[in-house]
Amino acid sequence: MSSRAVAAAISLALLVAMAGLWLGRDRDRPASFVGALATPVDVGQGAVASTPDRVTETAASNASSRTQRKEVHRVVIAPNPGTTKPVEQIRFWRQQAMTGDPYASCRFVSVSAGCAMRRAVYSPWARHRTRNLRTTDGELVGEDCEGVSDADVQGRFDALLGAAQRGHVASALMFASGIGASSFIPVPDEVRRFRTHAPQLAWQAFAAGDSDAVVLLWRVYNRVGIEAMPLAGAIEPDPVKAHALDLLMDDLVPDFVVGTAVDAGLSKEQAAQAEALHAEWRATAFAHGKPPRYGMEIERMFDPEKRAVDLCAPDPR
Amino acid sequence: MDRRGWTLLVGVLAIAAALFWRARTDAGASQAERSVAAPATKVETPESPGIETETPAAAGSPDLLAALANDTTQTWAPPPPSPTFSEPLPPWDAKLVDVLPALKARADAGDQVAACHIGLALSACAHAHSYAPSKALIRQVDPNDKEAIDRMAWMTQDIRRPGREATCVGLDPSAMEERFAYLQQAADAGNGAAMLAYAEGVPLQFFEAMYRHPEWLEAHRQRVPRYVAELIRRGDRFMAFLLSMGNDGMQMSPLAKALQMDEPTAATFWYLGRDILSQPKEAWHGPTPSVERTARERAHTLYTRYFEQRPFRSDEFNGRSDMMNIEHCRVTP
Repeated sequence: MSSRAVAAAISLALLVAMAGLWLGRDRDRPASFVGALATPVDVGQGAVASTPDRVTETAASNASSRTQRKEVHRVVIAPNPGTTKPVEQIRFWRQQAMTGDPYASCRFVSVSAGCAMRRAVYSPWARHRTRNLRTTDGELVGEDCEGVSDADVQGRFDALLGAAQRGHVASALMFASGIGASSFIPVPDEVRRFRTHAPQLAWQAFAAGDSDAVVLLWRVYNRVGIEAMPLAGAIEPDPVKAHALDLLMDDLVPDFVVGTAVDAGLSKEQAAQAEALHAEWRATAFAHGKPPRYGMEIERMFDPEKRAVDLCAPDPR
Repeated sequence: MDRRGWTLLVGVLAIAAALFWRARTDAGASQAERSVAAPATKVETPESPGIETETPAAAGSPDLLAALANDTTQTWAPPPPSPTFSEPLPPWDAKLVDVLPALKARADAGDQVAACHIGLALSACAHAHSYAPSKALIRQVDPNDKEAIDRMAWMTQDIRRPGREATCVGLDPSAMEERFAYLQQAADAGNGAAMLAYAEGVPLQFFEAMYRHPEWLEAHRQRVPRYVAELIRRGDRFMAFLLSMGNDGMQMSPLAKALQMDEPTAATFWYLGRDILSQPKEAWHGPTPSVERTARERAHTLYTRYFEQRPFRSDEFNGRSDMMNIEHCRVTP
């Protein structure tokens, strides 16, 4: 055999091998693989916290706690909400949430909220009705949830609760607001878990100085527009806290009309307790005096027109 | 070619063959997994007339049609006769704080009408309490904003029965927490108004109640299919009408969530609604046209069995949408 024949045989063999590898290309990829959406960029050790457009992924070689850990950080470029379909955004953030990053968990819940609720509102056999809801002008109503499956939106409740419990303030506020529920009419098991965690998480966001948490708590303790507020069913009435929150709202919300202790039906002792609480909050978590982002209408947090705002990022103000 | 050349060629071919074999094996394995996940041939459920042959309901959801098909098997124990009380029950506009102790004494003695009365009246108060604007909210309203002031005034009224909110004055909110148990007691005793209101979810129709009482949600889901089937057996056209309204498959009400009707069931009640209202038989607009014929036939079976013997009265639905109307508690089946 000539050397040309050998070269041809080697080329053929390599082609056969490449064909084999090509046929098996999907073997290791999970169904929700979305790596193609992201461009990983190694930024080395010590990468900082996540930003709205980037998520920092920490992969520690922690196979054994006895071995020396070597942390590797990389920043993954998140899909652009303006140019990427919701299904792709949901799958991206769901995948990132699996790494345990609270910010990614929050984003997963946030970007999937609309499609998850559309799936939850209809029986499986009737979901075709939600696919192409359009205005008379042909504009799509709500989000384009084409391709979003039950599996894509599964685990939102636990993801948000986990992120909140790891200290992510935005997740705590969202969870306490009832975001993350898997159905419109709630599931008893989720209700029990919500009741266990939501009040504490609302106060956790409050303690972190989140003015929107003040609004949420003020509304449920003072029974202001609570028809669609699950937290109202998870707290016990407390007139002292209700009045203290009223006093704090007066510090934070322009044109707020504060009530008196007499209006609130408090005794002198209770009024003093409320004032002491207010003074403590004013001196610590709310020394900044920042007004709430959504005024008194915390429901606007999920206003579709506000979706361009990253609900999971720290308040930039 | 020398010996080195041959050795190199054989080595490369061996590696190529190994890689090719591995890739093919993996591809075959994943194809086998897919085959398990999705059957190669679609298994058709044979359609046959009558409600006796059922398409299984969605996993975990109650099979309402099966419950109605087993009409000969009486699963509903006849309620014990309600004790007779000579005293009439208080009128709808009596202040509950005044009449509640006597009503409770009667209900606790087994009077299902009194239990229904308490359940509905306290439910009305719970609604009023939940929707009424609080002092803190009223304070925020601009005195010059007439629209907002009108809205506040509207929120303080019982729009279904003006004046009913006055029956709740002086009532401690904790007393309203008893509404669910009394309504359930009356429904369990076979009171039709109580069953209808309970099935519709009247005592828990706002988030505060649902999130305060997960045990109510559980009890509701457990009992509703039984109550609904019983009301259909009694020929309650309004119940059938409500079920026909569930043809859109939405699960935004406690009733829809408790029943979780699958498409054949929803289509059946859609056609039953058409039969009851004597309206032209509009075609089912669900995603599976093949359920239409069977659904029509099942609906007609239900109609002839439970509704046909009594003609529809034009005033039959009057006032039925106010499910907190306590006068309904006295209506015997």
